[in-house]
Amino acid sequence: MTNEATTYDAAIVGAGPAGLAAARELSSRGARVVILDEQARPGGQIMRQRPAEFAEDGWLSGGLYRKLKALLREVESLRELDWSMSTTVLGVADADGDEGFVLTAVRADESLTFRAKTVLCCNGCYERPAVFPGAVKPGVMGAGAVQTLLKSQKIVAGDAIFFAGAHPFQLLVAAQIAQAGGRIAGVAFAQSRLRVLSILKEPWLLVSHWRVFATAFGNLVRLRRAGVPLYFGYAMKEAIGANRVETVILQPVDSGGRARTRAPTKRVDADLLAMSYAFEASSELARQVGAQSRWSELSGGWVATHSQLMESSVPGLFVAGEVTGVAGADASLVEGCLAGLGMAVALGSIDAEEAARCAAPHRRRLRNLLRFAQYLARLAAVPAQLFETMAGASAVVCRCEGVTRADIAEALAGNAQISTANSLKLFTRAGMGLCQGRLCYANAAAQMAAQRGARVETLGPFQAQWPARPVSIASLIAAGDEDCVASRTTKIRKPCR
Amino acid sequence: MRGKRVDGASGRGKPIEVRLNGQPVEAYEGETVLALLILHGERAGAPERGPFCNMGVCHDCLVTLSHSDQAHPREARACLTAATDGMSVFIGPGGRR
Repeated sequence: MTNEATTYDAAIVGAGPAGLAAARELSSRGARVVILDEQARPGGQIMRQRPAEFAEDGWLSGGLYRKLKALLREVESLRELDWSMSTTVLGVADADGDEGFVLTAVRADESLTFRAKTVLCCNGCYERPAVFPGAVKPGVMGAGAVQTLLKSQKIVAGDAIFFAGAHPFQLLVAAQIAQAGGRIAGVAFAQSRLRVLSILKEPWLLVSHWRVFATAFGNLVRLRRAGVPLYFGYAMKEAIGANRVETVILQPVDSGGRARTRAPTKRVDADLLAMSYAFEASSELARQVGAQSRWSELSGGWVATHSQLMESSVPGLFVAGEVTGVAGADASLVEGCLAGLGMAVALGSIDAEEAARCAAPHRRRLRNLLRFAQYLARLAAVPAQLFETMAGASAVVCRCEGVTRADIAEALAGNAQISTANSLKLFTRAGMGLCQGRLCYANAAAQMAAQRGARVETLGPFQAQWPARPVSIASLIAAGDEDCVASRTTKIRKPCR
Repeated sequence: MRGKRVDGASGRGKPIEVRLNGQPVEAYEGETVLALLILHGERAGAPERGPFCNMGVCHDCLVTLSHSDQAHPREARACLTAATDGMSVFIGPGGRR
């Protein structure tokens, strides 16, 4: 099925809090909306739903999720919305000669095309893996992966799970796993205990975000009671095991993330290592269309820039949620409301004045949420030298192509002309694999910046190209229009800023 | 086996027949192929990698799927694919590229 005949008022890529909020706003104003998402059911990663065949008992209980779940159920019940789930968007391009955009996508192996007057890219973020010896071994996953396997599939993914990272998110996941009856081998923070407790120095935050802190504190207490060892000031040194992780080795680090070489390392047996060091904004789809981005060290790398009503530098292309800077589900929801208003203005269904009036309370709330997100980002910030400390020369940076730190160092040392992340990719193949550089960019760029004495923002992102995900030639040819495929490929390539 | 199903079979879909590298494995409607790989200690993808993200980004859970009602086997990310009755999942050589 393709929807080429229909021109939607709005196509929303990403069915998380931002996309759902925008869909509600647009739908209430009579707009014709389609939502596309790779998952089988809407909700995004924060509300990864159980499959329809599972019972919903106890899914995401707890006050933190209440408002989000209410939004999800409300939007799911809207009859006038079109959904295209289990759909991978490959590209968004200006519609040649017509107003609006063309989206190319695949569902299973079937090619799809959508036309829309406006597009919202709210396709979230993903976890940044750390580079250390053994980090690519089977049995090392992102903490988010461990969490989504639990909340969506009701699976505890290991027999003894160790968490290592710098983000408080890992506490939440560890507590959820423990509650589900899983065994936690330990939780290690790179920061000192004092730094983690520095939250108490900002009492206004405790008041305005009491629910978050109550949850975090409850998680700490629960883990303590369960006898889970908590380590502060420890980074990953190595994950070892014959075919998969069997033991993790921890390196004591100081507040700057440098190795404390005289302090003893620790060994802990675990068959699953869940890491949670940082998140990366998934801005590549917006950048592919030509949307401008800026570098944000603490909020997810290259994040899309936008107007007050979330319009990107490309007229008609909107961005919301983690794509604009990783700030959590509540902020994403509010940005989705704002984007919905902005798109309604672009579609001519409301005037700018009314939009500004409706946006005012959202903007106030967003300011508050972003202030909190910034604070949390500083608290969760990876200590300056930590990634450098963890990475040994032989450690793999690009999981897909097996490119190591040493490969990158050698390429850079041997060729002074390599001056951008893109040229590094061409010389080393780091970023050319199936994940298309999503998982290695931050680490490769950081290494390059350190070696060149440059700032990451001067190296640029990996160029975002069509298709945004690997796709089989067969499914494109099956679309029956090879010329169309060719023209899309060339049409979509634009200079990426 | 690695890890476990919370509450065992309860709250899941009906039991279905799925083969992993030719061997029948316990599986229920609604379970993703990745869940089955994890529960059965299989790593999919490249020989020295395991799945990392469970959200379609890493592609380290690529598998080859065949089904009696499909003419050709197809490659898919295990994390984004629901196991279905009669499905055969192949990993290892040929499972990736």
